[in-house]
Formats: sequence, structure tokens, C-alpha cells
Amino acid sequence: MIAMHELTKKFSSGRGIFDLSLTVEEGEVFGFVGPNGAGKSTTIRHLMGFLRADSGWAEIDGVRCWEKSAQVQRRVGYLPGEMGFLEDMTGSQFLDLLAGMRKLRHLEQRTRLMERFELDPTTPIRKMSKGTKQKVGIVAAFMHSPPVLILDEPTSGLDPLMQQRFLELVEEEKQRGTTIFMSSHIFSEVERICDRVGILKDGRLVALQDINSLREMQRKVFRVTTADGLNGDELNIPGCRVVGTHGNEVDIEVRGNYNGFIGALSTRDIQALDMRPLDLEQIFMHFYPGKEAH
Amino acid sequence: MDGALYTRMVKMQARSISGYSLGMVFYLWLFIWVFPSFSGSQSLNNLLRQMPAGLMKVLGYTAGITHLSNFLSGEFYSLLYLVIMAIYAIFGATGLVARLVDSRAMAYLLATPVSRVRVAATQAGVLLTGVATIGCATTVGALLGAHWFLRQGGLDAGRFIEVNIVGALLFSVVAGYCFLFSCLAPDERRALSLSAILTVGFYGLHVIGDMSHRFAWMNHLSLFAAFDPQKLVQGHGHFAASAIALALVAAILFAMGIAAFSKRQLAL
Repeated sequence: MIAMHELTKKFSSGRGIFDLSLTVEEGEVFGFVGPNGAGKSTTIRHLMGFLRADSGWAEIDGVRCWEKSAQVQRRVGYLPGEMGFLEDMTGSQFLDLLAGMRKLRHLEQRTRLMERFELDPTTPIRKMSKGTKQKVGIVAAFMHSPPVLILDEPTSGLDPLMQQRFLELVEEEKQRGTTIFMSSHIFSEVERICDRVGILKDGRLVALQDINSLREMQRKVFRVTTADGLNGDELNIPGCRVVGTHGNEVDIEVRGNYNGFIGALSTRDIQALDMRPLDLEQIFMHFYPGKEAH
Repeated sequence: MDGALYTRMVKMQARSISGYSLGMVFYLWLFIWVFPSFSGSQSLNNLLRQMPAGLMKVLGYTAGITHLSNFLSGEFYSLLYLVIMAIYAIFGATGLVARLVDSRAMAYLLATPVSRVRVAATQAGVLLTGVATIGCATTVGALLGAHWFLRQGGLDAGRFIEVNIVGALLFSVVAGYCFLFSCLAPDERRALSLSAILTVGFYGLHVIGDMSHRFAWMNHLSLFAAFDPQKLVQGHGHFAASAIALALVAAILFAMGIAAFSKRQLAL
């Protein structure tokens, strides 16, 4: 449904995206992750037909994104990463404008979305908080039930409750067979929703993994506090590694082998067990330093 | 053009367009109201006749102050009209494209199936609607004002309408290059400065070119030379030629702006 082939765009600063090739199948949810400045938004701007590639191409449903951008938009719902609105309008006027430009006749989905996100659309946009503006953006992206969704950092600005509602909405869309291309910083979000993940670093795709193998590779650091102290040798098993000790506290990095880890601890007198989640960049950049995608 | 976008944008611009129109009519009425005290003053007309011809031309009183048409073409259409129309054209054009790109609001408009060419053409249409509305309000306001305040008339309606048509077409050209800058410039500030500098430059050349024969060549470089309200009210102007030429140049400039926008790289 979404395809890129050797997509390259170099800016005068030397940054950009380089030789990006990937495909997202129909009904697949693809997570696009990487540190700030890696080129995620640049890639999305190519998919939206805002930028023209120096070389290579991007297509949605077989239609070239730059050459036929208006045609592409018929099938796409887009949530920009950085919100910019026509501030003089109310939320309703803005959504009416977009519905009018889409020649959207049935507005039931829009009404449902506004209720779901508790959006009061009568407020002028310039008086809305960042989170409320994000809700307007979400309604604008989903209101025409598009078969393809392109979401750039979709949960930024939303409070935890609304983040949950948004993730539920995306899960429903996934069930409906919508193809979703989503950039994110939050691993739990990507893990929950995405089937496959592409990792971008310095404009290059350094890894392309399905979420299960990524989950297996994901390392988590547990801080174990024992009554009598732990010997590092006891945890010398595949998938576990002691990364630090502080008195009776031991930091153990676990990658996939949770059974082995629990088994090794089962004979000890455990006083406390904490998990320190690593953020997405740490996880990915640890695993793929300079490694090329394959 | 896209109907939904056009309607919403015109509604958004309505307050500003009405403001400019009302401002224009208010000043016009003020001029019409004070006109009898100027026209009745023989000594003022004598004084004007003693002034150097160049200065008379700059002030816009080549025919003295005996008719309202001459008074308005000299006093109102030589400066205030130009300033108000230029401000609308510069700010209107910048707000309709460059500001939306700068604030990234354009992303939402381009994320609909309306093509870039249609979005840009719609914005151009909104801008021209503004110029036409202010032009119409000025014309109707002046005709009504002359009728109400002077009773005996004093405005040759036909020629006065010609002045306003050429004036509106002149500012369609100004709006055209401002629109082109708005479509091309990397940000709103740059678009605004380019538009303002070129417009002030054209006006400066026009004023200096009118002042002395030595600098008359400067007038040929100015767009404002295409609009001579005094000649038009006296019936010596080239109405049809000026109107056609200005309309053509405006159409070319808007077409260039739309083409530039449709090919532009946008970091939205």
C-alpha cells in the first residue's frame, strides 16, 4: 500500500534522508522510529507530496506521492507532527472547511470522534490548549475513514487518558484493515500497535524488524535487591547480564530470556524488584549502531 | 478554485476587507465634505496656479480645484487611495499564502484532495475579490457621497468609474506580484518585505519622476505611471489600453505565483 524506493533528499545542511526503501502492506501498521532529526518528518513530507525527492520515489496505493499528490490525498488521513491551524476559526469551522474540501457528505464519523475525544469544537482554535488542538488534528485525520493513515508523533500533547483513547481508536482502525504509517518516540505505543518497525538514524534506515523479534531483542534492566547480595555468576545465563552492583542491589539486563532470569532468582531471598524501562532511542541505538538494514 | 476554501477564506477576510472599504469611503466622504470650502476659494486657486508645474503635478492639481473630480483625483487618488489599496494588497497576499505556509496551516489544506494549483488559485481569487470589493465600495461610496453632500453632483460618473476600474486593475497587478512573492518566499517576513520594498520603490519613482523633467524617465520605470487619475477624469487618459495591459500583467503574475506554488518544496 505504501512503498518507497531509494528515496533520497539531501538538504544544504548535509542532513536529509538517504536511499530509503521499504514497503508497508495493506492493513499493516508500520512504526517509524528514530531520534530527533533522524529524518522521520522529512520522509512523511515525501509521502504527503510536500517535498520532491532528489532521487528515488514514494508511492501510496500505486500513485506517486509528488507527481499526483492531490490524488494520493483521497485515500490518506494525515496528522502532522507540528500543529499549525487557521487560528481565526473555531474547531467546527476548521473541520467544516476540510470536510467541504474533501466533499465529505457523511459527518457521523466526525461527530463520533468529537464525542470520543470530548472535543468542544465551538472554541476558537487560538484559544485551545496544545492537547485540544491535537484532538482537532486527530478528528481531521480520521473523519473521512481513510484506508491509509499517516500519523506523525500522534500522541504528543495528549493527556494519558486521551492517549489511551487514541490508541484504542488506532487499534480499531487496525481491525478495520486500515494501513497505518506512524512515527513515534514511545516504545510502549509502538509495541502495542505496530506490526513492524523501521528505525531511522541520520537519515538512513538502520533496521527493519517485526515487532515480535524486536520484543525478543528488547532489553530491560531490572534492579534486584536481595538480603544477602547476589553473585554475578549466578546470572551468567543466556539473555541476562549484570550491568552494575550497588551493595545488595544488582542491575541486571535481560533480553528475552525472562524464564531463565526468574529461575535464577527463584532460590534467593528477594526484597525488592524494580524494572527500569529504557526509552526507545536507547534500546534501538544500542542494538543497531551503524548497522545497515537488511 | 475550490468552493469550500473560497467561502471560508472570504469569510475570514471579510472583516479586513470591510475595514479597508469603510476606511476608504470614510476618507472619501471627508474629502467630498470639505470640497466646497476649497473650490469656493479663489485665492487658493490663484495660489495653485502660481506653483511650478512639476509640484502641481505631484500635488495633483493640474486643472485647479474647481471640480470635485479634479479634487478627488488630485487629493485622494494620488496618495490615500494608493496607500490603502497597497496596504491591503501587501498584507492580503502575504496572509493568504506565506503566513499559512509559515504557520504550517497549509499542511491541512494540502492534505485534502484539492490540488496545489486549485488551492493557490482559490487564494488568488480571494485576494482579487478583496481588491474588487474595496474598489466597488470606493466607487459607490464616492458617487453616493457626491450626491448626498453636494446635491448638484460634480462627479462625471462614467469617467469616475473608469478611474476606479483602472485603479482596481493597477492594484490587481500589485496584488499579483505580492502574491508571487508570497508563493515563492521562504517565510512570511521575507514575502512581506519584498512586497513592501517593491511597492514603495514604484511609488518613489513615480513621485520623483513627476517632480522634474530631469527625472521624468523614472516614471517610465514605475508601475504607478499606468494610473493617471487626473488624465482619466479629464478624458485624456488611455482607459481601454491601460485596463487591458494591467489586466494582462495581473493575470501573468497570478499565473506565475500559482505555478511557483505548485512546484514548491514545502517543509510543512
